[in-house]
Amino acid sequence: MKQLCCPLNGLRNISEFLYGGEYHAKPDQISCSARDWAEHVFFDENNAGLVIEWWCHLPTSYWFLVERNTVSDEILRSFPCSDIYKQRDDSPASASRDKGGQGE
Amino acid sequence: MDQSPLTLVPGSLLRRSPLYRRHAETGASFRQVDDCAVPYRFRSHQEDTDMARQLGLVDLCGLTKVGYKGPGASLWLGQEGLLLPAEPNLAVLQPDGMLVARLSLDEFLVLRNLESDSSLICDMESAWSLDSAVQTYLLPRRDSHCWLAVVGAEARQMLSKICAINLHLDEFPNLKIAQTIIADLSVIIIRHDLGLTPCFYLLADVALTEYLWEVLQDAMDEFAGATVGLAALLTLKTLLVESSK
Amino acid sequence: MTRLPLRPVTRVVKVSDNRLPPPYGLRLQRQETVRFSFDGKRFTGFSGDTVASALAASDQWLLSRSFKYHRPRGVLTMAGQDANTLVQLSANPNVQADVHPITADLQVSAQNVSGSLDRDRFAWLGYLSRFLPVAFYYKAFFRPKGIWQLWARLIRKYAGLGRIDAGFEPDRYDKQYCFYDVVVVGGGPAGLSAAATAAAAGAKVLLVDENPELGGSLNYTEFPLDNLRCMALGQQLIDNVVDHALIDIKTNAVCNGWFADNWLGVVGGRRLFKVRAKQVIMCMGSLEQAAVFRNNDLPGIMMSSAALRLIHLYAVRPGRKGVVLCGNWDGYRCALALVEAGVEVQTLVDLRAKPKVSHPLLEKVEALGIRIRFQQFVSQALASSQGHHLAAVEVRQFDSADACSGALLGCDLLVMAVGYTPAYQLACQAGALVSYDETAETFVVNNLPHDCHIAGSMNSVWKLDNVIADGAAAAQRALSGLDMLRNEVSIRAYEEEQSPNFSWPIFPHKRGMEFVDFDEDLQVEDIINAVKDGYEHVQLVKRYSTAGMGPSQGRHSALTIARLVATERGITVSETGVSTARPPYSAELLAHSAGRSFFPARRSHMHYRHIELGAQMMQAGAWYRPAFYGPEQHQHTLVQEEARNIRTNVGIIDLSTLGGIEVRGVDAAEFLNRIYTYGFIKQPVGKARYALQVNEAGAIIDDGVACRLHRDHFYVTATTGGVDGVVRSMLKWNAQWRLSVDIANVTSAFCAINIAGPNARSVLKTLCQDVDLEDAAFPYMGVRQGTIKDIGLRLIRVGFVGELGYELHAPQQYGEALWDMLMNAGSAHGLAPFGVEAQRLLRLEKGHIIVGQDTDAMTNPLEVQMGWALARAKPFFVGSRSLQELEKSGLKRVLAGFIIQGQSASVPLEGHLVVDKGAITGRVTSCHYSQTLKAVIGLAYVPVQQGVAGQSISIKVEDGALVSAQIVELPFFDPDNLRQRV
Repeated sequence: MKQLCCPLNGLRNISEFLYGGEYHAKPDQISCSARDWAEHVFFDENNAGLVIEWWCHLPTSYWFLVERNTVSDEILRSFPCSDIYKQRDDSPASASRDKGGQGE
Repeated sequence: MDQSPLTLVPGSLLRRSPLYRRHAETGASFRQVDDCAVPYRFRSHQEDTDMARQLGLVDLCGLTKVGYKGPGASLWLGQEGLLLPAEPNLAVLQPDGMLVARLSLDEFLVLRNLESDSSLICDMESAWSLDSAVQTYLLPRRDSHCWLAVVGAEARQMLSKICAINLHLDEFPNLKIAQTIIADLSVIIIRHDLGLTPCFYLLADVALTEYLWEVLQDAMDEFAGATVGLAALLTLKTLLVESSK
Repeated sequence: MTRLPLRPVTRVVKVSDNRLPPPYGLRLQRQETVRFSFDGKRFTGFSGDTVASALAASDQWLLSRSFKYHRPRGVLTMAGQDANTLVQLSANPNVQADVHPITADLQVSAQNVSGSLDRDRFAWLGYLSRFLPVAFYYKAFFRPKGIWQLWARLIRKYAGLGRIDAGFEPDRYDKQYCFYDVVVVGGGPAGLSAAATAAAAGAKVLLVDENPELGGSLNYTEFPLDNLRCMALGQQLIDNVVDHALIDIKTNAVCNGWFADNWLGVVGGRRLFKVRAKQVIMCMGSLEQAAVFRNNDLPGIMMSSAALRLIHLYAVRPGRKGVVLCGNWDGYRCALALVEAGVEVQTLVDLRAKPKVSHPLLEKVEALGIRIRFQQFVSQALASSQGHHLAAVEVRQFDSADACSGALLGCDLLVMAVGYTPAYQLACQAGALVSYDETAETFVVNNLPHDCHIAGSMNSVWKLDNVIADGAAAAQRALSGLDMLRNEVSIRAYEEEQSPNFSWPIFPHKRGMEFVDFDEDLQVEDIINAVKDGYEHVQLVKRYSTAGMGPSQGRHSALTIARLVATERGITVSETGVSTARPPYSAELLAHSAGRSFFPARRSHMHYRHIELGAQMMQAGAWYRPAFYGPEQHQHTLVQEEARNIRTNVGIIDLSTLGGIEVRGVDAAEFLNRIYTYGFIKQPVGKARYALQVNEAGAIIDDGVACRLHRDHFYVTATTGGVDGVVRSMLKWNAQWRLSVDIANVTSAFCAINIAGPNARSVLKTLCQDVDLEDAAFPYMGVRQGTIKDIGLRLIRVGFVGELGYELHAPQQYGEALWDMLMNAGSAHGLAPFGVEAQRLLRLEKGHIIVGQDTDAMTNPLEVQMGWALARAKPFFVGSRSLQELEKSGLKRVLAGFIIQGQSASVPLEGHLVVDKGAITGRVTSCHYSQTLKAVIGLAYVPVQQGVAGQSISIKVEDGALVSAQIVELPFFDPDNLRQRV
């Protein structure tokens, strides 16, 4: 059985993990075209080579990211989400309130 | 050790372990710990203790435990006077025997000691409020998780049949924690040796207590292990004191 | 122990003089005699004997009949590598007689035999071989359509293997996880050396060997030129590993599979060990190969290693009069051993030319008076008059074209020493490739992954000193991978004698019966014809001809097939290659791969109360839930009665399975606002709101209510099956947003009971004194915290069954006590428990959808008439952009309520189709008979224009009949929701 290294729990059998899809940067859902939005929601790159993926360690519900070579199935590194998402996201495309605090 | 007959009926208390029926059926005698009946003995005290030295399974669901989580948790717990593990997946024994387990950078699990009172853990719980404990969130671990113990010289051998984590002492020393999957369910394993006797606490979703219990009993079968009561654990603990004298 | 009754004894076989004196017989405990039976005849052997060795000692060489032609077969490898020795035990079929130990009163019988082993009724099939060409199944039995079903039954009778015992006694097999720095597979000299070297550097080592004792070939190989030193070396190797603190030894254990990241399946006894190794060293040795000539399958013809195993391990003289056929010096070594063991060896047939410089082995053999025939081969073997055993071999000169020039040599034993293949199977599972060394005429294993190593003869290293050095070198490479090596690894080339592989030990005969694959009775012609039929690739040859598909998995046929296919196609053996090796390496019992079946069944704290009340429990996701209370056969009446009681009195249902999530922190409201479709920023403390979750595509994934208990604290419910996914998705979103909020799944921390019905308030009032339950103080969708007898409660006033109702959420371990208190307090008010079935009916009457039942993976809120749950003013929530696009493009279907008047109408089931003029236009998602409404009611997806009240739809029900239903406005019952607001 394949193993995966969780940044919190260390090396574990792959059966302890849930695959969470490919990581890719989100388009701005307010300004992007419908086409771009559909690409984001329904399509993955499915690149033959290096990809970054979401994985969740099930016993701890811990989400992290993994860099993997889809050709050799070699896992190059796994790292916490905070390496990419460094700060609070209040961008208009993510926040539920506009600046006046109106959101209902 | 108190040898007086124990006549507590577990159903007479409001709080009940999900396993109390099984214990009653197998002739357990119970003792009230906090507000719950805990199986105290299944055979004579000596027999229970001898069994536990080889391989025993103990239901500690009745004992108090609580979780704290959040970016402020370590600060708040420190202010409450607890010693905290330096990194995730380690536990620290408190002076009064309480165990503080660090499950992640900002999540802690506090397990009551086995013998004396639980006043400290209860005081902490009543001191906590969303407003007073900044970015610290209480988790109702006492109700969300069962607490079982696998104890005895053969505990590791037995667990190696169902647990894919290397529990060898070199890799998994006393007070080490693993959060893993056993028999398709998420389990927190904490090694907490009782004196010289290996002991593993297993905590899992309380709705799966009976399932986990059956899995463990099945795995124990070939080792001739059995269910033992809290009294045996207390005795094993004291053996450390004797042997270290 | 009770003794099994023996079958009637037909004849007592006299013990022959095949048994050699000590010290022959490493595995035997001669003080212990064991009696057993074979095919109804009684035999005796020693403890430590295998079935085949004990029989051979009694001159019983015939063990089985072959798969296709029912040809007589006997010992070939004596190592459990072939199908010749498959026998039937009383409880187990397909047991390898050459490795299975005899035990007292063991009952063994021959397999695939019609009539008796000696006189098999199907033996004439061999004469038909001309008419049974390769792949004849495919060619003969496909027409007319369906005919195969008839043929299959007949053919299986002819080519049957063992019988399984349907009345077997279950036995306990188990699994175990193990962890090592280094796992060494194979306990021969290379493996012993590797294990000792690795352990000496501090690595934790597991040494696995399939034999009962360590030593591998040291236990039976001959070192006629250097015997004392070699034996001493061997003993030293064993002493180095036995009782070493860092080395665990598993003998009688087979490493049957390599899986990703060095995860090994090791089968030993009644255990399957799942071994995780940081480094693997495979020292699995080589498999000796058969020469291919006419009748090469006769009992009495065996590998030279098989003869040596019989002699040294079991003290069995492999024959009286022997001939050696060889293409290497191992044949000479074997000849010397045979003579020493009392076999009369007159001739050694050497396929090679006479060496220009003499060889000490040659001199030794000649000194014994054995005639060496260089550059000759065995052209065919001849059977005894009964046809069961070798009687003579015909030997010819290589260059002789004359058909009459063959010399006939009488013998009852022919040993073959013509070459080996490395045991590459496990290495190939790990990703290694097999190529062909054209100089050494042998397969070689290469391209191993960085954490797998090979050593010894598997690595084409043969001389004992070299093998030991090679094992140590492999261990050093492994140690280097573990960062445990102090010195540099030195790469050495070993000086070896001439390759033991003869280039072409294949001698086709015009009358055939030169077997390439013994398991499947495949002859040289079959392989060549497979290629001629167009199946050129070795993988296709395998599938077309079935070569290598038998129990020995090509161990003895892969090399010959590769050579034949290469020659036929005019390509190299390397280019031809071998077919893929997959686990398991050797046969394993189903019991080893079976074992515990884990179904983590979740039980509520009130589980046993339901059972005591006679509930029929059903599985809802991973939970057990009461479907209804009472005998199963009265389901319809009981469910209707439970529902009626709620509409008229009061009922309680165990809702502990409901998901519960604590969302806390200064951003809690903002977080929910982003996750759910509705608005939560201005939700007052003490109020609950419906919470609908869609995914980024706008499809509904879950629903619940969000209760605001504090400015920064929401308690959110979720569906039973959905909560884990909901929590995971929340955590994933917040890993990206990084809001100051804590998300905790507290599903199991709370038990929950819903008390519903006109009398709900009266019952609750008697128990809960610290909350004002009157409608003015605690209105519909209110949330309060209170207590019942010291039990802290969260009370939510909901109306999901359309009646006055309260959800009580309490710490889990109080569940049973809380249930009891409600049952007691309610007895004066007509309270009765109700189950999932009644709840579904009541919810349907109110038109409430159940996520997962009334929705599918594409359902969006607009289709299920829940546009009201979308806070369109919010600039963002998960899925908002998709919903905007969906709204723009217009709806294709809607979920509408339908009603079928009258009690006699047949009730459509979930999944039944809505049809319109023969075309499918939709489907039913929920449907029940409602006693309250005296009608069948349901929900169905229908086209938008049909989903208007007053329209009529047709539903195709169970027997194909069409039932007409009317679309109505939802809800079906109490449209103004007055009952839940009292």
